[in-house]
Amino acid sequence: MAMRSIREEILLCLPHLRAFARSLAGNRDKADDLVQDAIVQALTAAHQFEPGTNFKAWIFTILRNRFFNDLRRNKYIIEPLEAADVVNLATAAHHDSGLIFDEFRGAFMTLAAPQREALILVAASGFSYEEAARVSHCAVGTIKSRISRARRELQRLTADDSARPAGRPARPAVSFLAMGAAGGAK
Amino acid sequence: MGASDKPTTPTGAVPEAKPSATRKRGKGVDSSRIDRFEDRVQALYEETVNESVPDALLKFLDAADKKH
Repeated sequence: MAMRSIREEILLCLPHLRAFARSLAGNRDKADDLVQDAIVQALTAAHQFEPGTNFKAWIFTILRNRFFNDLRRNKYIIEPLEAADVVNLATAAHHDSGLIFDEFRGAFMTLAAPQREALILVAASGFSYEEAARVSHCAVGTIKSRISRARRELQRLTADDSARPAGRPARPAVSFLAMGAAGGAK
Repeated sequence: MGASDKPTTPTGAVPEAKPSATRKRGKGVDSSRIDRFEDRVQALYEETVNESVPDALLKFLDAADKKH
């Protein structure tokens, strides 16, 4: 079988890269900026990729490294939740079927970035715990504990939903970006 | 084979894992652990995966590829 070029590999991964970036950056435009940065970095470092190894894990690692470096440099500034496009609560309040899911989305985005990362890698992107740990440069136990904490937090936030008026976010004053930055590596 | 047995490379590349029944949810995770949170996380992710990739991003990829 002919070996795929780096461009072809990137093309195949693009939808997943965008989804991963969106789960980290939240905002659609920032996520696509992040994907562009990852593309440039992957093409620049293409000689370092070993054919036959997991390209998706390789480029996901590039993207997440970029995101967390930017986060440390405060590229992702703190914004009021209302300014972020993660969830349109006003719209959600008028659509019962979408409300629960949108509130879940809002709750998900308030998780610390490393917790979102771990959840997306294992629960959605198809990585094993071991692969997720390599992508995130941490121990397998750390991934498991981040997922466990994320699940507890989501459970708490969505349980709180029943006591909140519809359309009001769980943490109205702080954006997910702030939570990601404050959440550190835990 | 345990994860710690898997070879890693100097570039940090992760070897391609063999497909298996438990692959999608992570090794060692059985179906009883797949609760509604994971389902919703997956739905969030797939929302974007199922979107068309913007033309601007495809053009960017082509331009960047030519440059390199």
